[in-house]
Order: sequence, then C-alpha cells, then structure tokens
Amino acid sequence: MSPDALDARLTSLLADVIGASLESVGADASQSTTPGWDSVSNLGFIAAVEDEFGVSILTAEAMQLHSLADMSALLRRKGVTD
Amino acid sequence: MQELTVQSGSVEFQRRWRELRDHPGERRPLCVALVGSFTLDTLVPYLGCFLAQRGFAPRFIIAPFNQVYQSLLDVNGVVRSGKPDVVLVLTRLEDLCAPQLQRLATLVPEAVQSARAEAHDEVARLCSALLGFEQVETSALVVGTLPAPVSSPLGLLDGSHPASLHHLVRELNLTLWHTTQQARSMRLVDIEAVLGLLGTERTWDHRMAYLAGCPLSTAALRSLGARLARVVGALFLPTAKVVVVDLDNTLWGGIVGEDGPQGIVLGETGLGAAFVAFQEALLSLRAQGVLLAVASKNNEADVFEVFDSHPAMRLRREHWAASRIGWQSKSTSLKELAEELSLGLDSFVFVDDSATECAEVRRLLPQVTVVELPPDPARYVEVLRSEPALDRMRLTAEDLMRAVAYDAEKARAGAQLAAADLSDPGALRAHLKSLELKVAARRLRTCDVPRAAQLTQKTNQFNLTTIRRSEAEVELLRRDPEWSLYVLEVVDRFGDYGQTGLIFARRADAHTWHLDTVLLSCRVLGRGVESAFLWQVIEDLTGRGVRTLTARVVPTAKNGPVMDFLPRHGFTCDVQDTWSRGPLPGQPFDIDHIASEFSRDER
Repeated sequence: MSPDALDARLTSLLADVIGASLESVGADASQSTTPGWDSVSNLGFIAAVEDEFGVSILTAEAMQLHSLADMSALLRRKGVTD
Repeated sequence: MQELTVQSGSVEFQRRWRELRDHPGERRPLCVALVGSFTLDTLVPYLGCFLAQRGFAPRFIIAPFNQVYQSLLDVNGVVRSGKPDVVLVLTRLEDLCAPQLQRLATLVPEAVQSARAEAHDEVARLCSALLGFEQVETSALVVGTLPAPVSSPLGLLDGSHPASLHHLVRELNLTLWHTTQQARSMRLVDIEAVLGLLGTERTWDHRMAYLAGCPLSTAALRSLGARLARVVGALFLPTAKVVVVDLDNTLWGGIVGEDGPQGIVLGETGLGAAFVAFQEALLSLRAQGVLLAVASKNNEADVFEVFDSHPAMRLRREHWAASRIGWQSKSTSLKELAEELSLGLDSFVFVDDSATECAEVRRLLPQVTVVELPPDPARYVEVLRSEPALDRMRLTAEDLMRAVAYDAEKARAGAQLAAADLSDPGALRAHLKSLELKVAARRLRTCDVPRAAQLTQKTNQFNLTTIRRSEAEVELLRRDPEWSLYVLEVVDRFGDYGQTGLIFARRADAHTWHLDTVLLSCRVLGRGVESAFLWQVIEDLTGRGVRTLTARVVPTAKNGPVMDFLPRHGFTCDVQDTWSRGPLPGQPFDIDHIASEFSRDER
C-alpha cells in the first residue's frame, strides 16, 4: 500500500467512527480540530484500526495518538506499508 | 437493513447508532440511565443498536463516572431528575473497594480480615442505596452482579486462601442476590454469565481502563449490550404466551410415520438424549407460564402412541394446551390454535426444523415469532433459549399457575359443550350456575403490585381506558389516599383463575369518585364476573360516603368488548365520553349465580 492509500484508509475509518463526511476529514485532521473526535471516539478509532490492520497498539502508543498523522506514522513504524 | 449481532464490527455499531439515534421513526421512546463504577459511554452504541432492533428509540443518560451512590441518592442529579424508564447499574469490586483490595493483597491476617469486612460494608451500602432508590422512583432498576476479576494478586493461591479475591466477589454477589429477594422491583443480571460466554481473556482490555476508565473490550461491550437489550426488552415488551412445536425432527429424530413409534431417535443416551434435553427445555418454559401446543403433519394414532408409551418422552399429552395433528398447512394450524386458545398470533412462537415450514409461517403470519432449529439437535436447547420473545425478568403467581389454569379451561369448554343450547337464556343461566363461580374483591396490597402492573400492560380487550402502568406507578397510586385500587380473584369448580381484574378509582370530590381503570382478563369474560366486581366496588365506595361514580371510555382498536360495560351497568352518558352513575348504590346487578365476597384488609 502506498502511503497515500494508507492515509486514505485511515481517513475513511475515522470518518466512519466519528460519523463525519469523508470530505470534512482531511489528512491533517487532529482531535483538537475535528468535532466529534473526543477521547471516547478515539478509543473506537484505535479499536477499529486494530481490527482493520491486524495490529496491536500499546497503551503508551495509544496515549500519543491525537491525529491522523500520528496514527499513520505509528502504523508505518509497525510495518504496515502495503 | 441487516440486523447487527454480537459478531458485527464495532465501526458498524458506531455508524448504525448515529443513524438510529437521529431517526427514531415509529420506535417506542425509552430513556435509559447508565450508572457505573467505570465509564459506560462506550457501551452506548452497542446497547443503543440492540435496543433499536427490539423496537425502542432509546435516549441515554450517563451518570458521572464512579458516582454510583450520588447518582442513586441525589434527587437533583442527572439520573433522578431525568426520570428515566430504566436505570442500569454496573459496578466492579476493583472500583468500589480499591483500597480494601490493596490491603487484601498484603496477606497480613488482620488486614485481610478488616478489608473483607469493609468490602462487605461497602456492598451493603450499595444495596441500601439501591433499595432506597426503588422505594421512591418509578424507574425500573436493573443491577449487574460484580464481574470476577481477570486475575488475583494471589495467583493460584486464590483458589483456597482466606484472602481469595474470587471468593470475596462470590460472597458479595450473593449479598446482591439476597437484596433482590427483598426488593420490590429491582432485578439482578448475572454479568458473570454474560461475560463467561465470551471468556474472561476476551472480556477485559486493560489498555481501555488506563486510557478511558472503561476496562471492557469492544467484544465485551457488544455482548453486554446484547444481553442488556434483552433484559430491557423483557421488562417492557410482552413475553410470548404460546410455543407451538413441530414433532418429527423437532421433539424426536426421524419421522414417526415412516420409522414407527419405536424407531424414532429418542432416548437417554446418544443423539436421542439431545431431543430429551429439548423436551425438558420446553417443559421448563411451561413451568414459567408459557403454553405448549403442537402443529404437526402426521397421523394422530402414531403421534399418540409416542406420547402415551415411548419411555423416553418427557412431554406427555396432558402438557399440550392444544394441538393440530393432520395434513393442513402450519399457518392454518397456527391460526386455528390462536382461535382455540383465544390468544393473538403476536404472542405465538413457532418452532420447527424445516426451513420450508418456517418460511411459510414467516411469509403468511409475520406477527408470529419463528424459531428455526439448526441442523444439529445438540444445539436445539441453546437456540430456543436465545429467543428474546421468550425472555422474562419476573414471574407472577399467575404465570406459575397458567398451564394448570388452561387445563381447567379445557374442562370448562367440555362442560359447556355438554350443556344445552346456550342461546336459550334458561340454559345459559343453568350453565353459569353449574360453574359455581366465586369472586373475591379486595383492596390491592403490595404483593399484588407486579401482577396488577402486568394486567395493565397486557389486557387489551376488556379494558375501559387502556392506561398502561409500571409496577412503581401502581405502587404510588396504591399509597395515595386519593385513590382506591381493587383487585379481583375468580374461582370456579374447575379451578382458580387467580387475579384477573382491576378497578382503580380516584377521588374527584367529596361525594364523587372516578373510574380510572376497569379491566378484566378475557379468560373470565361472559360470566357476569365484571358485574359482581363492579358491585363490590360500588358497595365499598357507598359505605365511604360516595354518591356518584363517573367514568370515561377510551376506544382502541382492540377494546370492543368493553364498549357496553358502562351502559349495561346503569351509567348514563353525560357529555361525549363521560359517563356517570348515581345516586349510589342504585339498582343491583343480575349476579345471583356468583358468590361474592369483599375484604377490606389492606395490609
């Protein structure tokens, strides 16, 4: 998967979880700038990412996840590339 | 739209919940308060979706995190001021007694002893808060048992050491259970049983505890949401009244018409035992007040031989409230059974192993709940027990008596057939006299409240105003001096009908009382019982100085049978739907064939 494809999947997953339209969630979305992305829906997002990509996210990692860029970088570190 | 199940993905629940929350449609509004010792926000999408699938439009009140006592006790808090229909309380020992559990883990004998005692005190405090809540609030109260911790500080020692954490949880759950026995309406849900299905390891996600104060995994939230939706459904929706079963490959393996009564698969060992287990599961439903009936395409003689003489049969002919054995379609049989039992098809569950028969019933009688048995008889019991239409959160004395009561009804019907032509008034009178009817009316007592609420919920036909009330609402009226609540018990020579009628009267002024509720179960209609009941109430009110009785009738799609009740009993129509009878007591009713008694004892 190209970096762009990974980001697109994350964007659409987040939009699903928080109930936003795809257009309203940009690749630069973060918790502080996205309405509906609160601490509870963030857990939903983390669980959804684990299901979708078959990865396991540590508590300490989860605590640092506040934007799509954070998540995308974490997944790449975990070797999700294709 | 495809139904969501415990297997559906969590994102699907989030998405579906947003749609359902914003589009309540025709679903029944329901306000649910969640009170937890841990964060329950994450439960909402799952519980919300499952409730919506049962026809509710739920709205949630979420109590502040770990403020169980405050939420139950504070009149101005979000829970009590929100007047929810139901309050769900879920707690964990780890949250309620964190310092005590630390002391338990020290293993110092004195510390262990005092920590255990304090944990017991804490749960006693929780119980008294719960009982205090249900005394004053009308909301249904549902409490989860404490889930077992995933592991103990003692490791394997936990099995037998006095500081055992698991054993402490069991003791405290027993206290909760004892509390439920003395509670008026509080119901306990065995959380262990729910989470046990999933497995402890899949239940807890401690990352979530550290990140958000909710230690449950998404899989556990799904299971819990599904189970709690069943609990709420059982509290607010009617339970099915009849289970109609097929015979071949349902009650036994094989086809009796081909394999012969001795050739069917049914016995104490092997696959035959699976069918025995299924029959026992049906009998346990019967014990809870569900009527059993048969719809089978078979020769009657073969079927009777199995029922009468197969040694492994658990179900015998006397267990059937009714049966249709012949070659007609299952939907025809179901319609006839509904007619014979005087019950609506919407209170029927149809159980069959044949996909074709199930499809026919689903298509022609969509109001019937269909349980299609799986290919493996070993799974029959679990499939039957997972049918929400058969869920029940409370048993009344009438439920326990019902199967017996219907046996008596069969005998009555026999007597009626034996009687002469009933269109002749003399013959009718003789028949009614032969029933040896006795009615006993009295003021409602606390112990009558569950049944009374159930009658207001379930009675559709002979119901003057069709006002539905919860147990808590009935209890409030019972205590109100402006109201008089009467309950009717009916007995005849064939058996006891139990509590089958209610009259609720409200004081309008010093000399006038108003009939808010008049209802009778259809089982006792057509025998003059309603006249005898009303007369008892009139005599009681007259004795208390009441001169005029007023009433109102609210027509519904189903209450045709009650329409002539007021004119038939000397009420005159004043304006529109308002009726009155006075001065009391007025002309007595024609009830010579009924022995009546009235008890003033209110206890």
